[in-house]
Formats: sequence, structure tokens, C-alpha cells
Amino acid sequence: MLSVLLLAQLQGCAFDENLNYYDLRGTVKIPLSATQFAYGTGDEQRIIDDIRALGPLYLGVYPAVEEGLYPYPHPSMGPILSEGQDGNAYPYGGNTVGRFDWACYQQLVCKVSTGRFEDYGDIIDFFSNVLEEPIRTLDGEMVGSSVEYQERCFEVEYATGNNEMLFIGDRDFRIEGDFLVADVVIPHIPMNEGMKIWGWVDMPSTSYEFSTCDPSVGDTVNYYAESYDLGTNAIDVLNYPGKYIDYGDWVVQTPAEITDPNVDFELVVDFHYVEEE
Amino acid sequence: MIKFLFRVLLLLLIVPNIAFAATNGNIKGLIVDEYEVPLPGVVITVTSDNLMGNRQAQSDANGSYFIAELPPGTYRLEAKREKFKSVIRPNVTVKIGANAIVNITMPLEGASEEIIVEETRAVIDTESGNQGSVLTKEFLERIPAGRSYQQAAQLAAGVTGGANPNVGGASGNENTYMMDGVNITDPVTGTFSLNFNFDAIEQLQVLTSAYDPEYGQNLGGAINIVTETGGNTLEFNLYGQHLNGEWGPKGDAIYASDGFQLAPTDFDSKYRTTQLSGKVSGPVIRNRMWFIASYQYSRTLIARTGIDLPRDFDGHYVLGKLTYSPNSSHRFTLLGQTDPTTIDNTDQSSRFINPEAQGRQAQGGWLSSLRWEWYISPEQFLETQATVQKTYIEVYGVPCTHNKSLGYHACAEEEMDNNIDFVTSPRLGSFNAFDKDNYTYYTFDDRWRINFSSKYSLLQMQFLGSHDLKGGVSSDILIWDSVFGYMGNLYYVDLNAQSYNPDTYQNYYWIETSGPLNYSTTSNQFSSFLQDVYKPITNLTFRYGARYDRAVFRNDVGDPIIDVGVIQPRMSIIWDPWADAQTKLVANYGRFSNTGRIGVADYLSKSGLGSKLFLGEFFSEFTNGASNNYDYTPAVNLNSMHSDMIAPRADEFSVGAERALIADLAAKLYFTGKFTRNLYAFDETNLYWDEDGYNIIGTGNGSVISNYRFRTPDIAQRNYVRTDLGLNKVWSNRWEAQFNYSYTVSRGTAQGTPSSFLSVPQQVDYFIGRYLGTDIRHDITGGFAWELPDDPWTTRLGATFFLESGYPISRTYQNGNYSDDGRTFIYKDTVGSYARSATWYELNILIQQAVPVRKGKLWGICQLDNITNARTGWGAYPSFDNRWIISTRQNPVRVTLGGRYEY
Repeated sequence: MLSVLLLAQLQGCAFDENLNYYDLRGTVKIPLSATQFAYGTGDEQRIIDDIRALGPLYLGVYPAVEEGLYPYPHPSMGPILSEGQDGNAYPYGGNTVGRFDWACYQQLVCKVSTGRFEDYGDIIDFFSNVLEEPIRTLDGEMVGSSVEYQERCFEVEYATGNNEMLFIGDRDFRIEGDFLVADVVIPHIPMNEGMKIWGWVDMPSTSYEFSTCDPSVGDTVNYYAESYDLGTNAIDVLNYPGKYIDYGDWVVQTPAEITDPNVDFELVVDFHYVEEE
Repeated sequence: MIKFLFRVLLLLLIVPNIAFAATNGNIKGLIVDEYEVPLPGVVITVTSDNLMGNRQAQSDANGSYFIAELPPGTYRLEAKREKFKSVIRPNVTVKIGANAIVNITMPLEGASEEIIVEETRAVIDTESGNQGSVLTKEFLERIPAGRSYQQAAQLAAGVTGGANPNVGGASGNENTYMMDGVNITDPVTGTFSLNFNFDAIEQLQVLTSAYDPEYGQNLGGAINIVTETGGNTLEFNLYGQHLNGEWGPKGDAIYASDGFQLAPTDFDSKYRTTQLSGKVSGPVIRNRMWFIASYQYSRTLIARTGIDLPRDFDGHYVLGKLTYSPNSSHRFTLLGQTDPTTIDNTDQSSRFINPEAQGRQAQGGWLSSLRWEWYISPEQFLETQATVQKTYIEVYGVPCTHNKSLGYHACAEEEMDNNIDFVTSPRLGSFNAFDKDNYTYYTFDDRWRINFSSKYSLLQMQFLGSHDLKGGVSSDILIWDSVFGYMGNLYYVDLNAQSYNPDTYQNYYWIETSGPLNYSTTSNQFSSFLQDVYKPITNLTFRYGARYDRAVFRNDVGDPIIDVGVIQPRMSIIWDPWADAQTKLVANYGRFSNTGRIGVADYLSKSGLGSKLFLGEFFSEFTNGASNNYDYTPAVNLNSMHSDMIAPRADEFSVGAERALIADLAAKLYFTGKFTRNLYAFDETNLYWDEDGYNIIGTGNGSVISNYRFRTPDIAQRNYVRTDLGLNKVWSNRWEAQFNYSYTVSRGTAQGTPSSFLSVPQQVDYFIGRYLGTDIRHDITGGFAWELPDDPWTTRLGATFFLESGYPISRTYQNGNYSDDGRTFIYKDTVGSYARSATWYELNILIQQAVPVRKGKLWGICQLDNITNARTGWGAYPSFDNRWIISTRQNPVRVTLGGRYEY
């Protein structure tokens, strides 16, 4: 009887779902020079070199990546689903390194990515000393201290800990030689022979705007007299990357082909799209 | 031995069916003389108001006796043997599924012939590892339990929540509810499914942990009710009570979303409750056939703040039972129940709802069950039961009426009364606009459970000690027929932000829907169990056995969505170290499984409700002249199923000790760990999200529509650890009390949170009921009943106390864009002390005073709920701007006045 019970107990302990889905793990490398971008117009344009200016890195897993349709490598197009709509790319999955997050002030909508700033002071420093566009409240008051910044965030987010402010904390990228390197996981990818990982980094424009972020959509803040959208990325950046990749962005030149989903991949984002300059 | 086993097998084969629950209890013990020498041949006779005739047993060579399968209640036990004084124990309480252990010392014959012993009661069952509690009728009628067995159940350690309580960290959808051996669990929701007169309850058993294989199909607990059977004396009982919200303090403020008080001039919801009930019981044929019939009428009117039309709940609960025992070997029980209920003005969301746009809900059902109990011999017992139950929920707009005094939805001249308008499209208001024209949707929902079950007990079998074997089989057929649709397959939404004008469409859009949606979902379930209570020596007990549950759930086109079977071994070791029935040490292991609810299969139905959104003129400026046909959802269910599935299961371990401290009072200490895996879960396969699961970054098929895959992954789990400390004083010396303290840490779900389903984007952990949290809490419950006999002017005083400590609430974040299919929020694990549910407590008092009247007693009743008027907010949810809105606040002090007449 006991042996029967033990056998019954074992049933279920070794349950294997036999899913053909894998979490693809690996690293993404971006040249150190990718931290440079042109800011400002005309005579006032200058080159800024700061890791904090990197926008989100978008990663998709595609059946194939081609060249020709755009001036940079791009995922192959799929069938046309709707009349009058070009066939788009159909990824198996994707992920990001960093995402746009509201950093408590309207001025910062669509301008701050997670994983780029270590603390409040880091954000103040970047906007005041690098972009030379200090953070201001709706009343025009300049935000000068981390304490003030924190108080504002705790108040408007109803939070009690800095660890709830996901736009500050550890940086996503570390410097290894001539590259910025980040560890990534692309979850729940169905294994298809020959599939490729491809992606790009959304770099800021000369007016410090990001093409993948729309400030007129997303969550809304309603805090006393403040009422505005918090901005978020478009929902089809992996389906229509051509709509969003623009001047200054860094694109994967050689996608990583997945032959064994259990082997870590390495992806280099090494193509700087400047042709339209 | 082989002969016996063959009999068991044969009986199991010839008897169809099963869902199991104990409905009886046992009396057993040891009889010795004054020199502690076991006495064989002593005749034990038990009688009770709840027992037809009497039952007898004879002590064996070791002095042991055993009387099995006695209806629960209070018994008189008499032990007789020549040359010894007879011993009488007049107050032996038999509880459901438990052993009343009554050890007797018989003196040699002397001056008197018999002695009546009022010794200490059996307060510890030293042969059972079950955790939970059994509440007797005597206790239930003396404590303020809201006349609700669900509320009374919360006195047990490990039970929290509301009308559908959480047991052992599981959701309110994962318990089993049994009444008189009938599974009354709702086949769709997994919650309780019927109502009846609270006064008809004989005993209430709440099993939270370590229960026998006999109980199953749940990941939480088993709530097992046995109702009265009547007796040889004609009795009737009338009860009435009224609760009026106006009697309590008013002036509760509205609170801001973050909990701060905004408007001190607003008032609480208004409510009134009236309950009238009657019960009559007695003999049809003395000692052969008894009956009981009970009826309860419940009416509750609740109007939310500022709303004129109260939610009007009208329920009629009827329960009848006929028990027939043609001889001492057979007993038949016919049970019938029905509880038709209507709820008017179901929508309390806004004050701007015109009466004709209100909804009515009709719900209830009926149950019919026949049970046959066959006392084959003192050592053999067979119980077989067949049950048919139907429940229904119907929701629709209020029917028309020619009675103009009712004030709404007048019938056209040629129209018949009670005609439901399925044609007129509803108009929904938002932002202070009116809702008018017609109620939004209709649903007609029928649920059936057809059950056959049988179990066989073979007791006191001797093989290297004594064995009590029990086995059974059960079969259920579950059917869910439902129709859902929108009135006119169309509804308008009027934003009307600037005006209350009900006649002007402003800023509107409308949605066309396909439909109605018809579907029928079915399930076949089979269960069996075999268990043994093995006593190699008198003070050591092994309870072990296993249960097998097999379930097939089919969607609307008959595809088997779930086809799982799981074996659930369970074992308890109970040691009475001093062999005096005053102490026990317990270790338990058990696997528990919930194969699923029929509602699960519906998620994989082929049909779906299509909808198309059209935008009104207001939106034209935003659409750049493009078509106002904004979105289209195909009428096809896009969910898929993973081929490899396994039934959700929990492995539970517990150790504990119980010790009788003083007469009739025992203390207990238990440690329980429950680890649940393979919960039913959905993961998304079409939408791809950023690294935090906030925003969609792409789709697999080009459409922003969620496709879910149904799975039972190992990582869909919860872990639950609890420590219990309790005191239990059984009824004696005019008082009874229960006290429990529990410290609980659970991860994966929070108590009080539904966890029927999990749903995830790929990037975040599985969360349960949209909530992944770590719940750390302290719970204290207490129940006290006291009586000053002073017959006939009896006074009763009862009290209950509940305290739940604050526990962390997970932070929630709203998805940044394009919410889809409820994927609006993402819940992150608790961060620091961001948000905590406040500690709340409630003390309730029940005072009853008897007044002698002609041929009976009249009781005056006064119940005070929440006498300290604590007003803690005990539920909160995040608003669209991430502020916390207190969703539930304790009701203020309530005064309920009532009366009862007993004949």
C-alpha cells in the first residue's frame, strides 16, 4: 500500500509540459560611440556623449532578416492581412532593454527610459548640465534637489520607497572594452529553426525626442490641476520597425541566428543609420 | 480477510457512483473495572433524540466497544453487565466525522444499581488528524454568526474571507460544500450554491487541513453541513428579525482614493434586512419516520450612497427532509430544497439610472436527493446517495407591468405583463449621464449537477491490530447551459460629460454585438477513495489512504478541454502518548487536488461574442475623416490549449499537538505548510511586451488581440505556511468557547483574493487573480456561548470576535497602452510598506432572553454587530491614476432585533 502511495506521490512531481517554448538568453552589445548624438539645431547644435541618452533597445525574434527594402537590415515582411496595408513583420516574440517611464514631471514625458539613471540626482544632472534644459514644474519652478524630486514622486505616485520608482536604479548597460553590454532574456519563444534575433536602439532626435514614444497616449495622471498623458511606446514597433527607425538610431547589422535555444546568443548593434543625413 | 475484501470489491462494483462527505459520527472507548482490568461483554446502549430507536454494541475481549455511523447529536450512553453497576453517561456529543471517545470504569455491584456519571467530555479525538472545527446546533444558536454558516465557518483557524471563504490560502472558488452528504458546490464557480434556513443546521463541520481521502475535489477546505432530521416529538419554531441601517450611527464620510476623507456630509449606504423563518419537525410514525420542514424569507434592501432605488433582494428558502427507518438496519432520507430569489435594481453604480433601465436578477434552484444507509452489521455500513440539483441565474431588464404604481416600464396596451424587452437597445451613461431605455444585457444560465455516490465501511477488522476500512466511488455529471446577449445586440454609450440631460446624445459611441451567445459546457467526473484507520496498539493510530479524481470537461462543441486524473495519497499518524484520550501528537501529509470547475472549460469554447465599435460625431475630428468603424472583435474564441495538462494539486504537511488542559477544555498547536502547483493558467501568445510587462511592443499576428494559451505550469503556484494556536471548550457547565490564533505567510496569492485563474504576459511572473502577493497576516477568532438556565427564564449570551492584521498589498501599475481583455493592470510584488491593509476587528454580541408562554417559550433576541463601531477600510484597489480607492469599509454598529417561538 505504501509503495502505491509513494508512486502516486511521485506522479506529478516530474511533470513536463513539453512546451516548445524557450526563454532565449544572451547579451547585447552596443559600440561605445553609440552614446553620441547631435542635440540642438543650427549653430547651437552640439554633440552630446552620454550613456543616459540611450532610448530603449527593442529586440524581436523573426523568421528572417533581409536587406534592400530599407537602408538598413530589417525583418522580412509577412503576408498582407488587411487591404491597403503592407505586409508587416510577424515576430515570434520580443523584449526591450529599458522602456519609457514617466519620471514624475510633465516635462519628462517620453524623455526618460528605465535603466539609464541611477538616482534622482542623475536625472537632474543630465537635464541641467548635459542637455542644459533643467527640469521645471508646471509652475516653472526649477527642480534643484534630489529631495525635492523624491518628495514630488512619492506624492504623485503615492509611493513610499525609491524602489518603486523604476526609472531609477541600476543601469542596464555595463562597459566592457569598446562596448556597452547588457544581459537580456527574450521569453517564451517558440523554437523555429533558423529564426533570428534582430533589433535596434531608439536614439534621441536633435530636439531630444524619441520616435517610438508618443506623448499623447498611455496612462493619464490626474493630480489636482495636473491632467495629461504620460506617453508610451507605439504598440507595433516590432511589427513595423521601418516606421520608427530614423536618423541616428543604431540597428543590428548581423542578426543572431538561433539554432540551439539553450545556447546563449550574442548580438551586436553595430549599424549606425545616418544615410538620410 | 480475503472474503471481506471480496465483499468490499463486489459492493463497490455493483453500486453505481459518488461525492463524499461524512454525515455521521462514532462513539467508541474502553471499559475497565475498578482495577483497570478490561471488561468484555458489557452491553452498550445509546439513545438520542436524533436516533430512531437505539443502537447497541458489546465490548470485546479487550474491553473495547465501537458504535459507528451515528447521526450527530447528543446521546445518552448506558453500559450494563451483570454483577457491575450500570453506568450512564447522559451527555455524549457525537460530531460529524469524529469519534466521541468515552472510556468507562464500571464498579462492582453495590448499594445502588446504576450510577450517572457527568465526567469530563471527550474534547480530543485521539484517532483523527483532521484540522478544523465542528460547530454544533447548540453553539450556533447561541453565537452571533449572522445566521450564516459561511460566517460561522470563519471561527476555524485558517478560514478567512466572506460569503465564499478562503480556506488554507486557497481562493473562494476552491472549496467543497456539502449538505447532508450532497455536494452543493456550484459547478461553474466553485462556490456555495444554495441557501436554506440557518435554524435547520444540526452541525457544521469545517475541514481546513489533513482531512481524510473521503473529502476531495478542492484545494481549500471542505464545509460540511448536516441538517436536522426531526424526532419523536412534534416541535416548531418561528423566528423573525429585522435590521435597520438607520438604527446605527450615520455620517460616514466619502474617502478619497488614497484614503483621505473628502466629504464629511455624505452618508453610508442605506439598508434594511428582514428575515422570517419557520421550522416544524416531528414524527410521521414514531421511531420509524420523521420529518422536518423549514422555510426562510429574507429581504434585504441596500442603496448605495446617493442612489434612490435600493437593491432589493427577495429570497424564499425551503428545505424539507423525510427520514424513514423501516428497521434498525436501514434508513432512507429524502431531501428536497429550493430557494427562488429575485434581486431588483441590480445596478447600483450610478444615481443616474432611470428605473426602466434597471436590471432584475432571478436566481435559485432546487435539489432532490435520496440516501440509503444500510447497517449491514455492527461492522459493516453501506451508504448510497443519488442527487439531482439545478441552479439558475437569470439577468435581464425589468419586465413591463400594467401596474402603474410600480412606476417603471409600463407595458404597451397589447403587451402582456412581465414581458422582457429584448429589442430596445440600451443607452449607457457615463460621466454623470443618464442610463435609460433598457437594461444592457440578458443572461439565462442553468447549471445541473447529477450525482451518484456510494461508500462502504468495514470496521474493527483485526489484522495485526484493528482496521476501520472505508471506500467509495462517486460520479458526477455537470451541465452548464447559458445564453448571453445584449438587448437589441446594440448599445450606446453617452459620455455626456457636461450635462445630465437624459434626452440628448452627446459625445457618444455605440457598439454592435453579435449574439446572442449560446453555449453549453459539460463535465463528467469520477472519484473514488479507500482509507483505513489502523490501530496497531490502542494509543497509536495510522490513518492512511488515497483518493482518485478524474475529470473531463468539454467545451461548447464537445471537445474535451480538460481530461485529468490525479491520485491523492494522504496519511496521518496520531499518537496518544499516555493512552488517556487527553493528549495527541499528530503528523500529516496529504495531496489535494481540484480538477477544475466547469466554468474553466468555457474559456476554451469555440464561440465568442463579436463586437464592432462605431464612433459618433464627437469623435470625427479625431479620426481624420477615416471610417468611424473603429474596431472589430471576431466572434471566435481565440484561446488555445496546451496539449499537456495536469490537475492542479497541493501537497500539505502538518504537525501538531492537542492537550486537554482542564475539564472539557483543550489547547492545540499546529504547523501547516501547503504547496500548490500546476494551477490552471493562461499565458499570452500574441502580444509582446516590454521588459516590465507594461507596454505592448508588437504582436505575433498583426492584430492587437490577446490570444491565451491554457496551461498548468509548475510555476503557477502558491506556497502557504501557517501556525495555529487554539483553545476549545466543549459545551458543559453552561458555556462553550472556541479561540484561534493563526499566523500565516502565503506567497502566490493573498487570502481574500480570487485565484481561479492566472493570466500573464510573458515578462512577468504568474499572478493569481491578477494579483501576485506575499501575504503575511495574523488572524484571531473567538466564539463564546454562555447560558444562565434559571428555567424557564433562560438567558443566553453569545459573542464572536474577529481580528485580521494588516497585510501588504501589492503595488499595481497600469499598463501604459491599449488595455486588452482585462490586461489593464500589472501587479508587482509588494514593495516595502507601500500599501497595507489596515488591521480590522469586529466584536459582535447576541443576547437572548426566554419568556415562558403557553406550551412553549418565547425568546427575545437582540444582536449587536460591530459594537465598537470600527470603520476600517479592509479592501482597496488602484484607481486609473494609481491612487488607492478604499473599496470596502466595515459596516457600522448594527442592531438586529428578533424573536423566536419554540413549541
